[in-house]
Amino acid sequence: MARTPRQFVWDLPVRLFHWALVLLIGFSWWSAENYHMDWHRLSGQAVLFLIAFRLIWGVVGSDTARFAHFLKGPRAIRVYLADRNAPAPVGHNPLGGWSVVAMLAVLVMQVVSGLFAVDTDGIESGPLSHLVDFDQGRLASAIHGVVFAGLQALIALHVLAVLFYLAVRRRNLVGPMVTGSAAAPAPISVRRAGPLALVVALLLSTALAWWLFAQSAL
Amino acid sequence: MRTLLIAAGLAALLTSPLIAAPGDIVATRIAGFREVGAAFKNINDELKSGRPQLYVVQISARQIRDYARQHMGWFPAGSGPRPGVKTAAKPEIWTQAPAFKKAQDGFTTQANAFAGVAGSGDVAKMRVAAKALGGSCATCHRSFRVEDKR
Repeated sequence: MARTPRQFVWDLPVRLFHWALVLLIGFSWWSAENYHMDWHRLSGQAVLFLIAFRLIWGVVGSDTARFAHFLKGPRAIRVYLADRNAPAPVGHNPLGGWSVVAMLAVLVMQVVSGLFAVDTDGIESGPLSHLVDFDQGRLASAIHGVVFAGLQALIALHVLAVLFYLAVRRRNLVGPMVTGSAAAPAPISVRRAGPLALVVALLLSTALAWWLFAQSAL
Repeated sequence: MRTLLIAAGLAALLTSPLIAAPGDIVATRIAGFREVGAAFKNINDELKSGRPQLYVVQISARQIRDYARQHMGWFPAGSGPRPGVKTAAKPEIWTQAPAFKKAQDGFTTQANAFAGVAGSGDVAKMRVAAKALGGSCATCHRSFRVEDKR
């Protein structure tokens, strides 16, 4: 029996980014609730690295990772929503692409507010909190809390959408995010990023994450 | 008549803080602990930097020590949560008064100790003492304060 042809969907950096983010958001939540603020800061630094990497990868990564590839206008979204038998695009669908933007935007707000956040006792604080006064730090902390509720809502929406595709549309979206590919009768070719793009993206995001958290860097 | 009016007015002015006191104690302690938090942020900002400004640490340490002397009077009976009053003070402050007193004494002890260490100029010792001082805040807050987890 011949193997069913596979369609390349997600490159390894996108998949590692996704699952590392899942783990780190969970860990950040747990560590904050249980007063492990040293771990919470480290986790935040790792999330900052991931977000920076993903933003760069959205420009230099494989086609399915690129913003230019998956961000579509309102017409494309309308067409996609109107015709449920329309061929499923490889990678993010026209609506899902914008949910990626929403998720990244909320994560950026979460990380940035965390950089400046100060707790009620003036004990635990983000790595850039010395640049703001106590009240501004408390405001950053309040924003950190509100944005986290928004992040939770987006994650719930994301999981519901994945379940909707699984149960109603009979499409498993989790599989490709694990293996990188999906069964397809006629795979189309997707341009994949090379090692140079990966090295550049890793170096830039590592440098940013190191610099913002380095002692007295700013 | 005029003198009488002035006298009555002066008397009213002078006694009004006393009359207002029970209601305002919640605002007083919120403002006071806010100052403690702001002062402790200054201390921790300096201590985490490579070149701490010792006078900032010392002034802030004295500020915290002064508030630690006042805070014993910030929780009179009846100043707990009730409708229309926004406070994070838990009822346990009054139902477990001895334990609360112990936590308050812990803060006073650490505030005094830190002010002493800050005066010595030894940054390494200040970092250790600041941890202990922060610990005394956290110990009390986890039992007696409604936490806003952020």
